[in-house]
Amino acid sequence: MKYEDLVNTYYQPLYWHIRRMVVSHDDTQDILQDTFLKIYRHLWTLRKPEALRGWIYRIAGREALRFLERKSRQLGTAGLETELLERLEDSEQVNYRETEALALQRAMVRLSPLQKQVFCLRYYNEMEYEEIARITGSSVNSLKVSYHNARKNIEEYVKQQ
Amino acid sequence: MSSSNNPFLVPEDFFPAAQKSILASAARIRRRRIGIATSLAALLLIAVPAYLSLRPQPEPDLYVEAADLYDYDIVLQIMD
Repeated sequence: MKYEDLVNTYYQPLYWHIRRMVVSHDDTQDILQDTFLKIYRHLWTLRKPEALRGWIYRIAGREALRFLERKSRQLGTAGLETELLERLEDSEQVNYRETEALALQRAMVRLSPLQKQVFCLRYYNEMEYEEIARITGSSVNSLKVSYHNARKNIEEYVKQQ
Repeated sequence: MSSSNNPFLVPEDFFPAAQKSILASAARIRRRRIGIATSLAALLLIAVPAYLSLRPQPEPDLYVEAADLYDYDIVLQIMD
């Protein structure tokens, strides 16, 4: 696949994947820029073309998690949660008519970074656990537990609202 | 839960512009790589002949003498 086709195919899906994890449009754009430059620099190392999607999501997920970890070190877990919620309430970035989606996103802010990643890949991208395992490097069983816990946390939060 | 709805907004025309910017960055990297490769090739073209011309040359006379001796020994052996 040519790099130009790859950018055209994956730019939007990766944008939404990262945006759901880090919330802010500007941060997403920075992370996506780094992700695509890494993809460009290392594309020649990819031996199996069928592994492309997983490989791309692995790079994007790792970049997003690294960003969240860095923020978490700076602000602490509670501080990071507060900042993400503030970004989420920014009226320029959010469509308030999508009330259900907004509630879901508010609930997702409270998940751990790994749970968030697993939930996004499974729920929004409808990936199989085996593919998510290749992306995250976790076992299928631990991913099932993470997804189950994420879903339970989200449902509890949405019920409380 | 529906997976299609999305609460986030993006600036208008964001995606085409962002994709263009990514491709421009990749093109810059490609040009830089080509520049480095061309400079290295030019350096090799200059450096290799210079190295070869400066390298001490072997002494061919010794080799010829040794070969001559060898041939002479064989001739003597055949005559015996």
